[in-house]
Amino acid sequence: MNKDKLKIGIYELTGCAGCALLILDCEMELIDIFNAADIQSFLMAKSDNIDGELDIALVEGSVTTEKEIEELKDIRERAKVVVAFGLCASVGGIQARFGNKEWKENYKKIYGDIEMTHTKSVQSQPIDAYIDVDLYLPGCPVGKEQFLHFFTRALKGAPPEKYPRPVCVTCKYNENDCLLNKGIPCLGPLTADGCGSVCPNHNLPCQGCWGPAEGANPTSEFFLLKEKGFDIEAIKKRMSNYSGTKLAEFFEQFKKESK
Amino acid sequence: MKKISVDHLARVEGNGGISATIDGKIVSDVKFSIYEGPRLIEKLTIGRTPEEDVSMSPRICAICSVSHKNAVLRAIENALDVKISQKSYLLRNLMHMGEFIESHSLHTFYLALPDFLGFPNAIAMASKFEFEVKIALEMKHFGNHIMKTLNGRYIHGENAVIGGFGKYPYREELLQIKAKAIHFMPFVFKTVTLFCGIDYPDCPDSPTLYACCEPGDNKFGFWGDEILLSTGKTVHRD
Ligand code: SF4
Ligand code: SF4
Ligand code: SF4
Repeated sequence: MNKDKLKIGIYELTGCAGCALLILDCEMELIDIFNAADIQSFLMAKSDNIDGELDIALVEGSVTTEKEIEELKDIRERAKVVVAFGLCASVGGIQARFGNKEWKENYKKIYGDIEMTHTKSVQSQPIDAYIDVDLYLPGCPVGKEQFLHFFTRALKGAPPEKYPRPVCVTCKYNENDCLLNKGIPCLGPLTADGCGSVCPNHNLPCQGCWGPAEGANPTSEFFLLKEKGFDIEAIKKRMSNYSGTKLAEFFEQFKKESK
Repeated sequence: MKKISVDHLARVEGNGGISATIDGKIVSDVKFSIYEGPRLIEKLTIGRTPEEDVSMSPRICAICSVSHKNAVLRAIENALDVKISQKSYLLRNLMHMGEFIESHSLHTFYLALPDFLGFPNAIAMASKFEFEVKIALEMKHFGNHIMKTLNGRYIHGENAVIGGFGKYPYREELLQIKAKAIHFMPFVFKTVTLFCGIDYPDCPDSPTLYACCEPGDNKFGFWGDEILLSTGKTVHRD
């Protein structure tokens, strides 16, 4: 392998494998991707994997077992840059809606007294609950364009583009009729952009699958939604589907601001 | 006697390992471990609107997300007594075929074939089998293109909704899909020839139970209310 090539490792913790699959879904770019970088580890795609020093580790999935905590810490030690790859890694994914107590109760309701044999289950959390994370690429799954931009910039040593806007901004660029005006609860105002407003482009409300938008103004948006007659509790519930453990922080900010 | 242990299975979807003892031709103590962490999805769907459940359910697995989507749509439409039009039915079927084309291209060429041909991954195969690798990528892309056209995105698209679709594809888009499908036919036959020519290792016979759905109308398909088993038994959905 060429020494000058970026050493990249792609790892999967608990998720649906969609973010890792998304890399394989770059069919027209895949050969170039494998040639441009030294892909050291990618279990889904190759069998000659090496667990050595890395320039970049892309970590998909949230942490839901003790074994994964160990794996994650090992990855952190080996990698210069760790990227939370996708919604699960960034905010904990759909499986991170429950707090610790609820997690345990629900685990019992589903699995009864059956424990995992090789490890213990822990409440689902994003990877930054256990290690320092350098970059976040949210999305369920990560957007293909977003990934390719990230990858090509990384090859040149440049940081990734930021998407500090909510979905609504792109939705307006795309000249969609706003669904809120039709009484349809759309989470675009609160959700991070990156998908190209694909759901509103199909006349469908955003379900929030990119997680909370950094640059959103939740206070203002909640008042707007209230004014338009939407049930705030239903919106919060909806928002919690894809916001994992970061939702609490989001609402803290909301509470502070609305005082 | 030899003990083998693979901690992380590669080129499969999901996390697992396998260990076994091999004594000449006798294989024993086979242990297959699945390392997937729990996600409690059963609980996540409770207390949400049907629309939110439809959105979350495909996240069970991305490889077969459209199958999950069709399943959850069928279940909810059945529960709420929602009927879909023949057009929506056909388009959902097409969406499902997109997943088949994408997923089977992935599994055959990218996940399985490198083992038979002695390569660590599919891209490395390109040095000797450039045409096959490239056309397999194109077929996979075609499958994804169908899913995107119908469901809005490659993975976890939201366009298929309770009652039909958010937005219906244009006739032109569907005709293009048809033309592309015809274009790939010769390669599909080549794929069959290729895989039939592989020297598969002998495996001990074990009784395998096969199951499929009866789509009705004496047609080929993947969903229906009757589950047909290879024992000759039929099980109804309920
Ligand atoms: S973020 Fe979404 S697509 Fe990615 S692994 Fe998690 S559930 Fe799957
Ligand atoms: S449809 Fe949704 S995403 Fe688009 S502008 Fe309205 S609220 Fe924002
Ligand atoms: S519009 Fe919302 S739900 Fe749809 S893909 Fe984008 S972020 Fe996800």
